[in-house]
Amino acid sequence: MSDEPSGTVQPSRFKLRGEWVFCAILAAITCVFLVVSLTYPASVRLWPLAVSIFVIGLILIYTAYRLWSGTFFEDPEEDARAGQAQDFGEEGASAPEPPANINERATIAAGASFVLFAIFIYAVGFLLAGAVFVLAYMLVAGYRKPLTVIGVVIGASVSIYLLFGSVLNAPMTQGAFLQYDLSWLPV
Amino acid sequence: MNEILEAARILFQPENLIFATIGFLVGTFGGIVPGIGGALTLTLVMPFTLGMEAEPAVILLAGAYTGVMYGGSIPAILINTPGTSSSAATALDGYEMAKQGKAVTAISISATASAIGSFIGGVFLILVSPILIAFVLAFGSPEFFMLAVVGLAIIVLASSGSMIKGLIAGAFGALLSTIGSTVVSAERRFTFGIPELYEGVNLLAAFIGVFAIAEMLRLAGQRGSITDKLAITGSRLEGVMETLRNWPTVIKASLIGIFIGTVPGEGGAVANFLAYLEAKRSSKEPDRFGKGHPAGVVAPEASNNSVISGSLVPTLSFGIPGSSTAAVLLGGLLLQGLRPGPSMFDENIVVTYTLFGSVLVGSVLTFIIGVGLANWFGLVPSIPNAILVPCVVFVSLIGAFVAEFNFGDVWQTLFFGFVGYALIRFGFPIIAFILGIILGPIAEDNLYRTLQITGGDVSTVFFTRPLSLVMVIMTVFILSWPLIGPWVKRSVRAAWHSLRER
Repeated sequence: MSDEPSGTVQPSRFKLRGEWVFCAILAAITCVFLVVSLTYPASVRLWPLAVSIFVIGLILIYTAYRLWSGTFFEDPEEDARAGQAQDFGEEGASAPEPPANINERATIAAGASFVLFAIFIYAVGFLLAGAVFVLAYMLVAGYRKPLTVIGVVIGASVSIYLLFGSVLNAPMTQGAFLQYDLSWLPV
Repeated sequence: MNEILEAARILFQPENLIFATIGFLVGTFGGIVPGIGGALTLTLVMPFTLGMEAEPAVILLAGAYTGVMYGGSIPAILINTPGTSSSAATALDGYEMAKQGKAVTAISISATASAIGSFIGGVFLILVSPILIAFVLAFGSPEFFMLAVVGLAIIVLASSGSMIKGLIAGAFGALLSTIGSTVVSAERRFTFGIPELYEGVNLLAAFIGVFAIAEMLRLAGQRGSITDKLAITGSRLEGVMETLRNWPTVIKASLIGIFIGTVPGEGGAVANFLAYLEAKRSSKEPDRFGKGHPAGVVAPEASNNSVISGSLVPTLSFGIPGSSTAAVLLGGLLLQGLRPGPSMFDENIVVTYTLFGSVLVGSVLTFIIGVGLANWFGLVPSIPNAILVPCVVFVSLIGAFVAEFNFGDVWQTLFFGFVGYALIRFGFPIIAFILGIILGPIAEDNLYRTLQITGGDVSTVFFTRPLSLVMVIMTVFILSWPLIGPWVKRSVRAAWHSLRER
């Protein structure tokens, strides 16, 4: 049995798989830009065409380099990071972005919750969606102090309503499916 | 001179002083809470500048920038976790001082040194501005195009990790910036029939996504709060006196910060360590460093605040920010309709001097508020991720929305957040990506102008104009640095060792 908490995966394994998926997505998006740019007049397409060819060329060079150097399935920057740490000459002083065990499932769940939050905002407006999101996120993240939870939800909602609703006139209470009036409030 | 007086008049209007104070307090809070940092704090402040005139907007942003640089030292001192990378070296002696029961003393040292560093930097900016004006006005379209290319190349080189990944990130950012209305004609590009893309990439949404949402995704994967903190004890007066006793270190560190700040791609983190190492090297008691030496807090804090002034030089003159925080500041200027370059020293000179003056006001605020509230600031760093993440996401999405009251910007923010997280996760420098978005349109605009000037022939123009030629050579040199760099480093190291042996 592993000592790691449930959902924690080895970062390098995820990272390496994900890195190439990410590069492939970048390349695919860039290819779309390249093909579409060919349909534009010369003056309009010059810059995006040049940049998209540059991006694709770089991705190909990077892939070829990793294959050639035999680091396609390794993290070639780990040594570089260790080197940088030594360059500073101070024990433990630098270590820029050391690789850490990250709970990828929690990150993916958080990303999904952000998207759901945006959909909820669209449906019921910022104020209600925001209050529900803060409450739900805190509870799901394991926060169980009732007074703090209530305080944070009310505090965040009120302060954001005052800042964005009152000062910047953002329509905090208008969603596509629910609209309510808080103009009777003395703020 | 009249412009400086006008800027001073604007700066000392009561409402603008209030903006500076609010900016400073928000910035300090952002610096104190590990995980927020400079770029994110300024990003969250940006929506509030949209309805403002340019001058109050830059005052608010400059206040936040100054606050962040100071605030980052507090968790470094109290919990050995720098609030920003610019305060990493402060933790070495600051945390040791806190363990010895001198946390308040260390925070006061940080406030005083930061204030003096900011002040020296602000004076430098005002003194150097006439030279900057003359230099910037010598640039034409070909030079500005090459400058955008050099800027991207420098940032890519200076970014940690693989240079080719930096180039990919920067170029991809530049590619995304071509979405929407073109700079050369009324035609729209790459909108794919989506009305929300007609106006192109919303700069604010991109900043909020890359800095706020991406960072919150990263924090979401880490459980718990940052860590427990130490007792907040010590003397504020002793902190001020310790800083003044170390005045040569303050001045030297401030000058290091200014110099490093002017180098695009470097920034507070590098200045922080260089100033620390120099203070240790020149100290009579180097063995005390790392064990709670006051100069070990003075040097990094004076340097990282003077970096602000240094970084404003390339940011305002050429649109090449010295750090990610300066990149966001540049974004704030662009949102105000201000473009870096000659116009900042011509029709917008009052805004520029107001910004310089804001750094000086920030130094005074750092001292007054920083020392005055040294005990209170220590209470902030213990915010758990479970509270921080949803609150920041809430503010971020509504912040992106209020820019144009367009819900499409919320989706753009999330898109850039996921892209930003992937960039961070897979080792692509996000500063290069964001600079690609900023510099891409500038490069295209100036390339198009150059094409018009030369009748479509750009084969020689970059090589026949002296400044442009210098930048072509610089670009080639920078991009070939990974090949020649190790050889140069070995040679310099060998020369240094032989000199020391003599």
